[in-house]
Amino acid sequence: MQPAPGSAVVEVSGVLFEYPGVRALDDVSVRIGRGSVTALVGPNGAGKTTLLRCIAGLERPMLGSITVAGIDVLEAPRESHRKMGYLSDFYGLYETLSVRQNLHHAAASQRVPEQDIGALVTRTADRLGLGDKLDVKSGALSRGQRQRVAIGQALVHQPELLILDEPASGLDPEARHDLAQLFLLLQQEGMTLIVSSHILAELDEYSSHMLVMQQGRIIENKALSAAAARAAQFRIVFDAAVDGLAGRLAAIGGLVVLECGANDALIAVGAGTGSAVLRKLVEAGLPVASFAPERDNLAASYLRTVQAAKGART
Amino acid sequence: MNPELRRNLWLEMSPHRLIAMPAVLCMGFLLVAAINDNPWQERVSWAALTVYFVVTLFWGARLVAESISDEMRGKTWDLQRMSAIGPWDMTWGKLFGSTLFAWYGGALCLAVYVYAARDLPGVGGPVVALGLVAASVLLHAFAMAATLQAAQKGWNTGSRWATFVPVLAFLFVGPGLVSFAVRHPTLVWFGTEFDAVEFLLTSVMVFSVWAVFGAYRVMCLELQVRTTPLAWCAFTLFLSVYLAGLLGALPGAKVGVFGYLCLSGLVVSVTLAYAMLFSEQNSAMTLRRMLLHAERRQWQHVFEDMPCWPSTVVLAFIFAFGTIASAAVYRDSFDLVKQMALMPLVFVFLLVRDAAILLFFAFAKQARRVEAAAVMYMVLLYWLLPGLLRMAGLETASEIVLPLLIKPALGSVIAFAQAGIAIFLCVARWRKNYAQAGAVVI
Repeated sequence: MQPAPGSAVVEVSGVLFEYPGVRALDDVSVRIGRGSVTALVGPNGAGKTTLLRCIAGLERPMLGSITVAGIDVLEAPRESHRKMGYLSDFYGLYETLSVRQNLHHAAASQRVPEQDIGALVTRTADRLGLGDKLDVKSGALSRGQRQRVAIGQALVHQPELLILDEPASGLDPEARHDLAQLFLLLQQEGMTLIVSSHILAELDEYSSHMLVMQQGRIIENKALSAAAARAAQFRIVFDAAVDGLAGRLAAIGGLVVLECGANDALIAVGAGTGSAVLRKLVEAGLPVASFAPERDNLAASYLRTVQAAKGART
Repeated sequence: MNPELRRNLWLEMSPHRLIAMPAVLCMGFLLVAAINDNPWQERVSWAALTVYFVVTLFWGARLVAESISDEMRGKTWDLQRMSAIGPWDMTWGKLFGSTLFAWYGGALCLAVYVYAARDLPGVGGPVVALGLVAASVLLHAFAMAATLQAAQKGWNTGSRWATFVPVLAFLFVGPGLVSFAVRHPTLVWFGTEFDAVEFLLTSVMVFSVWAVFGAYRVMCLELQVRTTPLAWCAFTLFLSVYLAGLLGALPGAKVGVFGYLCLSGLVVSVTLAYAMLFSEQNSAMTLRRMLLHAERRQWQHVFEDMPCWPSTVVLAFIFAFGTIASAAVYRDSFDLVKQMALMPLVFVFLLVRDAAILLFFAFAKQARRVEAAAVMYMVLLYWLLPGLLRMAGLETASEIVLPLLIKPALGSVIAFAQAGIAIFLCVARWRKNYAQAGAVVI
């Protein structure tokens, strides 16, 4: 039976991890839903990489439990690896092997049946735009291509969970965009992704959830793609400055002014009433140049969370 | 096929190499055979053995060690650790995969050796070949285990030492054993006479199996597969029994099987405890992890997180009491045991003291060069300080520092006191730096 979408693929409970004199993970508990793309964000030293390595079974926490796709990672790490792929921020490739051999070895290492490996290698290479590089030695590839081979190694066995630590570092903008498209495609196919990155704008392209870490603790774990919430806010830009804009907007029924400048404003409207409000604005003679739903920007959301956490401490 | 073996096949066995190795060896052996008019067999058989030593034994050990350290340097080790390959498949895949080319050359050399030595006097070619194969596996497995162990401690030069030390040990011990087997056709083990060559051959084969098992256990640790120190205790007991059988052949030794076993067990467990104390991971976090599990009564996890050396210390205590008991029973029959009396307790208390010294440095806030610091203080306590005090005419003070040369009863009390002081300092440092480690966050 196929697991239900939204059920937890990763369950972390009470995880504690210490380095000498430093608590890197402090009683961390989190559930990652199936089919989600979770952006793991936080300042340097927050414990992001340690958490990812614990989930991947590369580090053993001092206390706590971690399951991936129902398998206890701490009790059966080798079995759990068949269900996940991991790309480290400092990855390596077998330079003297070809791309095909690297991917073949990765698939065979995950116990993919021998008869399926050839097709999976070809499919993975094609997805990553490496179809014409299969017989090229990894050492002869460009940095971006090497990065894609490394991602290919992590997903060639079609894991349920893909963990990526800084996957786009060192990639050019075009390669980053391609990577984002790949992640969205993988998500559509039902794969769950956890992506740690410092480039929030890039995470914004494909993340459905945000997990914020600070000082070894999770301070926020929320869905970014709450469609209703997004649609309820609209950014309006006017052709020219409007005198008494806030008052004129307030006079129009069915909206709440959240922010107001001289020639732009952010408003909240009732679910499904956007078009009606736009019509009223035009009918009221306001020079509307653009009327667009305001997406809850990940960077803004992250900064709000971090600032709120700072405020709570002080 | 084992994925690790196949990866190494791709890397190591190119058509060029497959042709080049036999071609070069063939030309070399032909040259040796044609050097002069004397019978060629002896020269060629020695040449084949020499090349085997260099190519398979030594270079093979180097290749195994590098197969681990290269992956760590090349950052592909996480990929291996993330695979679903179990520790046993990873161990044998790496052990025989990384040395494929060395074994290829070695097999050719051994074939030439067996052919050339077929009519020569002495031990038969196939027996020597079998012994060499077992010795190679032993050396390779040891190199692998040592490299992994060194890597877990963060020693970057681990692979160099992992090759250098066993090769040196082989050069030191190997010729002695062969010469012993040549001079003594038979050997007594637990009162039974064995053919010396067969006994040595069997011993090398059995120890090679233990070495592979050891490499497997260290691989388990590296791959986060939980283990307990039981296997290590089993090896300690095996080695104790093995050596106890040989002790019976010593002149005047009549303390019975129990006496031999305790005596050899004491020597083996103290030696192995020191070896593991200095080679295992002994950071403050190891103890903290154990204590956290103990607080929650998760005893199985405590046992899994425990390094091997504490269990070896426990065995050393058991063997020490056994030796003392057997000395009391056989006090008139075996001079060595009689003279030792309570001496075993001195040894194990000093072992505990030294372990506490090492942990004292391991529990520093910024623990660096822990082993070097412990060795320095041990040199001071075993050699420099007693020597200086003796030179200054302070005999009693010298004996208090090094209680090995006084009456064992008094010596054991002094050693016990030293161990107590070292443990006290160790615990105090732990309490100061780590008992509340959880309160410290980034």
